[in-house]
Amino acid sequence: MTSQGSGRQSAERRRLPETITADGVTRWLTRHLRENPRAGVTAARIQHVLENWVVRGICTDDKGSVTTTYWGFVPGRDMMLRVPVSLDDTEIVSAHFDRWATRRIAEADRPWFQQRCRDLEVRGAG
Amino acid sequence: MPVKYYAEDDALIIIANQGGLSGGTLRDDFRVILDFADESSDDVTRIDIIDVSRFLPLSAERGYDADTDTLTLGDKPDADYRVVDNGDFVSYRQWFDDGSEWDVVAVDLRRASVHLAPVLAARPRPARVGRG
Repeated sequence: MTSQGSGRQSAERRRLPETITADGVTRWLTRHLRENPRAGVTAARIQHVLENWVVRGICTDDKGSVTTTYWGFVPGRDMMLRVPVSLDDTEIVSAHFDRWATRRIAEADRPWFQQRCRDLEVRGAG
Repeated sequence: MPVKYYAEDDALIIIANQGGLSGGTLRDDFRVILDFADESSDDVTRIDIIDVSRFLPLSAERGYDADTDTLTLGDKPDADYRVVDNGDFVSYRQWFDDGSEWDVVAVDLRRASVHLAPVLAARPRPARVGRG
């Protein structure tokens, strides 16, 4: 009972809220993100990235996925968190740490982002 | 291996190991999200596939090999690649000089029909054609 109960509590703790407000904009979270966030991905960290992003752009891959994507560092981690948001700015699609973007920004490799994202904005990564 | 399908998001999550602290997407498919145990690990420990129905019905045209029950996500390279085999997840990496280094260009999902079972079960069955 206790182990099952604590496991359930742990799972509930890892759940994210239905919405996150950042810079005065409230966005919904997809259900799979709410219920299965990755280790280290919290509502506070997502909000932090949406407000303190290092790179932001409208990003398109070769398979036709288009999102407004935010990358930013979060306190206590040396890896960038990637947060794709729907184009209508209402839904946070996903949130995950991004080792490749971290390397690219560390090497000031903006062409990679420019190839994939339009309306690109880059702030200081320091 | 926990598998969870969220029909409203059409998102499938397959978890081999919890607690991935590093991740990314396929290089050319941002809707396939990968987790790794940490920055130094190349073993894929979790895959999220958003809009997973685009891989269905399972067919060779969509990257499925029925003989091996393997679904290839992304574009598997013909040459100059590295393979990292982690059980049901096999990732293919190529070197890129844009800071990506060994970026993941494809993942083979072994036992695909098992992992995709919740998605297949949620799909409407095709209507039977009536016989004259």
